[in-house]
Amino acid sequence: MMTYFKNNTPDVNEKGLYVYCIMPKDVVTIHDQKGIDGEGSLFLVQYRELVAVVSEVKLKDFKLSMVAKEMVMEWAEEKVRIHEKIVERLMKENDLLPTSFGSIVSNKEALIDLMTDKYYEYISVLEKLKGKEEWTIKAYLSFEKFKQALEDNTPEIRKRKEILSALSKSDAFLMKRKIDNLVKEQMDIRLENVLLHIVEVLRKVSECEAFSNVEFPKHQKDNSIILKASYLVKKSIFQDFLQQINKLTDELESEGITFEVIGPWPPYSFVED
Amino acid sequence: MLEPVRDKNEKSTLVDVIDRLLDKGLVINADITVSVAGVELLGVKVRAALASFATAAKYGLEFPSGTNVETAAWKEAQAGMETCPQCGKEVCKEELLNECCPWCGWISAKAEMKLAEKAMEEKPRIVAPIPQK
Repeated sequence: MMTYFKNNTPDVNEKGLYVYCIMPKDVVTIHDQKGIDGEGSLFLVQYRELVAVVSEVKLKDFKLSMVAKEMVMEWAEEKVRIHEKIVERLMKENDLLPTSFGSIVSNKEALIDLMTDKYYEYISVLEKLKGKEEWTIKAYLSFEKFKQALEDNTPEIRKRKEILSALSKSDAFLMKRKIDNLVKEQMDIRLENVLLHIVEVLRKVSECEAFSNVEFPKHQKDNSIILKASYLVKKSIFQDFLQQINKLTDELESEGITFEVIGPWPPYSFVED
Repeated sequence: MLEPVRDKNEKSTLVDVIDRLLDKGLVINADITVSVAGVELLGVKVRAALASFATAAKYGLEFPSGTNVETAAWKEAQAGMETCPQCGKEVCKEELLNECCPWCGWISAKAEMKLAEKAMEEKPRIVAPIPQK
């Protein structure tokens, strides 16, 4: 079980380079700023037209066994937050490829080797991302409201409900079950259509999309998340994008569906070719 | 009018930040990282484990007793968790119900049924020859 607790203790002061992002060299503005450990300053490692933004870190701080022993939530939260802050600041003035948390190479040579290997891939992704930002959209469902709206809007259900009041107790029981099943069925269909509609609308105002898994609400929980997606949006048309979401809100709010827009993010979801 | 959320330090979006940085982004070649350093650094596997903090247990990362589990990210991660009835450890609900407990191997009735079904399917069918007239 403890495969990751290896005992090969390195020199306690051995250092490596923590990589925050990769950017085109000509647009770089880099501020005097400390890196993820609060000690090493940010600097650039250049290969041809690209630079990597890095800072020196002690390997032991990021060594698995150390992290495992001291792996407290705050540690991860704090480090992740610093990493994100550094990249977000750079994002304001540069197109960039943000790295995943904990991207560390042993030295400058290793990093240049890597950039040499991936040079054309990086260049082409950067080209694709030019002038675009990532936005997260979350859609939430209020179950009761959704159900109510559906019952009101489906004539078949309304009619059956009217009949219900005139029925004897045993017949009413059966009818009620029938209605319940019908409601359930219709809700599934409606929800699927709503989701398809949202995706279709947003696809028109974005360049790329990436969906995250959400656990679909099977029970009547309020404000369950039903959609979580990242969109790559041109900065120049972000207002259109937002307007579409507002339109969707107007359309769907009466059915208990609400939206949240979070961003802009560095394009974490779109760094792959 | 919907306003985009920009302050990522808000508790609700911190989880998103963590998810994103651990799960996505450019993966700087882990091979180079690991082999040259001679120590195992936070590589892809652990990143994945950390991505849902609670599953870290699965990868052998046991949290020390003083770990603060009251943070937002942790609570969020707990949402999909269930306590194994046999060993009492917190494990992924999905896995616990559909497969088994990764710690002690406890199998739920549902998973057992599935296993039985599978075994039935794999069993060679006895084929009786049709009697010829």
